[in-house]
Amino acid sequence: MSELANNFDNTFDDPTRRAPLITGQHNLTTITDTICGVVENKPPRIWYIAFAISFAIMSTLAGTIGYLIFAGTGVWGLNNPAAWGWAIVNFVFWVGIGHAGTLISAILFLFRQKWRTGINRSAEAMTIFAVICAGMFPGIHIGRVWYAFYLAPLPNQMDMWPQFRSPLLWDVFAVNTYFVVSLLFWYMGMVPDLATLRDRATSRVRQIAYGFFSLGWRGSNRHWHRYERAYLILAALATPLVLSVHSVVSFDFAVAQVPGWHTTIFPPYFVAGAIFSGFAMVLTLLIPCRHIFGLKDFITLRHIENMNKVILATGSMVGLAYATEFFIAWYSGNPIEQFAFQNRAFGHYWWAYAIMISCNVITPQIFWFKKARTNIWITFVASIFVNIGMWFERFVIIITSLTADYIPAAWDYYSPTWVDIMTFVGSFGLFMTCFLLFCRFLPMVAISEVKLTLAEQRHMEHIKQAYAEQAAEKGGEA
Amino acid sequence: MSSLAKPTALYDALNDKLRIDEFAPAANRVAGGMVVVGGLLAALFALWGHDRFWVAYLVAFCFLLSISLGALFFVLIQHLTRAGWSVVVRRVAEAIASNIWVCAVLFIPLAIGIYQGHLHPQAAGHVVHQAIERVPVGTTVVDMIGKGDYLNGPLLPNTAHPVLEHYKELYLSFPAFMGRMAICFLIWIGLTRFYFSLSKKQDETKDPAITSKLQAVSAVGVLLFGGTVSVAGFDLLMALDPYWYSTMFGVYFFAGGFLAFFATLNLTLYLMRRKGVAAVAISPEHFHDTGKLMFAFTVFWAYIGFSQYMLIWYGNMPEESAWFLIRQTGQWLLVSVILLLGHFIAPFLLSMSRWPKRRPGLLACLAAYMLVMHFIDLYWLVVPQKSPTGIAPPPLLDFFLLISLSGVWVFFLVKSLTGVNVIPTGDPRLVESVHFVNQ
Repeated sequence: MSELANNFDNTFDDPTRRAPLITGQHNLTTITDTICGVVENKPPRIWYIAFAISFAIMSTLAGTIGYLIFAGTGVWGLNNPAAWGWAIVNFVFWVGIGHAGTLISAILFLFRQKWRTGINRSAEAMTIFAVICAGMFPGIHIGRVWYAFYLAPLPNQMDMWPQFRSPLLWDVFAVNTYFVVSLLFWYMGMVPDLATLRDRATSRVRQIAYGFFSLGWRGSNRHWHRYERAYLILAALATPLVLSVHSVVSFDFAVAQVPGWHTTIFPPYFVAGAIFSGFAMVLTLLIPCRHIFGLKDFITLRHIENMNKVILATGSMVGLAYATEFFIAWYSGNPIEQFAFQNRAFGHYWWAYAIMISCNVITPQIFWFKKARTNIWITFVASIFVNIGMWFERFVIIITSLTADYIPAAWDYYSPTWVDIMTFVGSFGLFMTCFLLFCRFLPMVAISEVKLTLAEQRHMEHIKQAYAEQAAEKGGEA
Repeated sequence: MSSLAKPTALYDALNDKLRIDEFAPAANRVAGGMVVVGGLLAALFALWGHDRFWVAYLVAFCFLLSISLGALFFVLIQHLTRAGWSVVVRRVAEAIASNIWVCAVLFIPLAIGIYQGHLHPQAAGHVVHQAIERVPVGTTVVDMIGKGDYLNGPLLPNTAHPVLEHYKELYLSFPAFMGRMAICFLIWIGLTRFYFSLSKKQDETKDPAITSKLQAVSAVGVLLFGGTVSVAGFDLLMALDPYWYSTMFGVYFFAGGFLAFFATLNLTLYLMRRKGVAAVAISPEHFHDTGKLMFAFTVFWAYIGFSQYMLIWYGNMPEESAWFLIRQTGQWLLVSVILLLGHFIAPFLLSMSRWPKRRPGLLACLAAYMLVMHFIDLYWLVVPQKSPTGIAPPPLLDFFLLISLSGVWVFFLVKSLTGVNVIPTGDPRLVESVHFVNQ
């Protein structure tokens, strides 16, 4: 029905017409077949290989966490000034990654960015898994993990309460709220597609499993009506959350008086950085996925180009924030602030700073060029660079400020131990295992939303035609 | 597939009344009236509190500048995102943005005031630190408030840096300040003229290549905008207290201005439509969207304002908290509370529903209200710096001066919109915009 060739280039930038977001020879049936096929058919061999590797890495995570709990946080590289080491770096890193999903599903939905339909489902899944990885780190960082429940304000016979004035507690609330809303949003959006899988299921187990989770969805008019209202309301609720979560995370640092942490631009700057890293991770995951699972018609080059534009925009915002911080440190006349920033750039950790600047500020600048934005390989490499850079950004903020604050006698150099490193690597195992399971068992692309895009794509053609008629009519009168 | 009805909406929109020319004389009379009456009353009240003239002028100037800057950002972002819905409202935004040159002219008297030392202490070469007594170590800010002399004297409860560094004196000096403002205005005027003139040209040529060109420039434009607005916010408002600093300040300045721009846009569109101009092309659907954006940036303003306050309050470092301390003491506390309730909570509750957003008249009332709040916000930024203990006469001088300068601004806005179509009829996405419906 859709007349586009499989290799149709939809990255053109022509103001007179909108680019189609679905390429290839697709109609409603083929869309369902293609996306459900990923779940219903035997996965390609590479999936098994990737899963085996991810699972193995995840097992090392279990090992390092077990060792940590057994031996205590002394096995990490923490020292006296740097009481927040890799664990908090990793926490902020993963929370940041978890921002793209909700931005794509909520904010881009409110902004009527139709291209989100190709990528929102997998980006939301990525968000959920990233937040799980993030939540793990503060949990194990407390040392005695069996007391983790005290993070929640549970009434108890000792009348012990968490410190409500601490931003760390606000984090618990912010991240949990975000997790719950993201999960609901993801799941609710998936219900119609789960019903599709249920209806197509051939095995009893699948029928029961998908049937259970599709909540009796029959696709009736009333169902759709409620679904769309709920989706809109959840989008509106999730939108401020995209901003609030990382703002609260930034409060962990910015409310303190530690030089280099206490700066008011932190909330919006952290949010921009989170969206930046989140989109980079979406690209890192989806570029291989669209190839392996044959989803290039739905996750087209235009989707990738758009994400690259977002990366360029947010990367530049982050760059502007770095510049503002430096400028104000100089402008403030505060010698301690000034030292903190000089120390970041030229101190013991200059290499981390150099990695951060080159990955976060310089790398995305390549996306000024359309050739780079529409090149899969350049995008893939750049997205990995951005991931690296954003991890180092948190490293720079946390480590350089903590290791060299007001009292030089208390300064120290922080180095991670093998447990730190393996825990971080292991968290990638957890993340990838979850994501691969998602690809295997759940619809990776929002089937119903993509179908709607297809319908609009046809309507667009109609508008163009109507416009041509109109112009002809006007011309005739003149 | 091709059996849908004829696109009558577009046809009607293009046969709409697309010029404001016949109403221009009336609008100009109103603007002239604002200038004259506002000016006279401002002069009258200046006799009462003449020492506050320059402060009032700065508030009014920043009010108009921030709206024009908001408009520039709106135009840039529409092109950057290839927006379709906003085409019919973009022409008015372009005209508001191109009013930046008026702000540049209005800046000249302000520069004189600054040079004479009525506003930014360092820019006037007033060596503030000579007048400052070193505060004994261990004195708290509250102690100094208690003594009272702190509030009347220089704003410096800061033991760490009682003197400005030499390099900072140079940075804030008049020539450096003027140099930066000149660069900012050059960039803004360049961008706004570029966008307005090419868009007008497109009305005649209907050339889609113009849109491509405008889109290409918008990416660089946004980058330039971000940098210059931050610098201007620092220079015009933050530097009123040369010791105080906040990295967020530029964003705060932008957030308020962008919100005020949406208010101005809603108000202008409403007034135009009431006279039957572009009454078909611009439908409640578009008001719904501009209303949503006004709502969104009400929240964004609050988010930025809260974050800035929260971090400084919590950090509780004297060199930072002094700025807020003035604003939560005495008379200024009242203004702060008015801002909290009136600039955020009330409009948040009032404009959350879709109901008022789809009623242009109601939305225009909300918009006018938001403009008043924006004025109070700027007033709150500027005036406590010069009158930390509060002000004796009511701020009538400030208000009438604002009316007077706004009259000038409105006059030139009407002039820009006279003789051109109020919607960009040559834009290739016009049809999309006219047909656009909220779901």
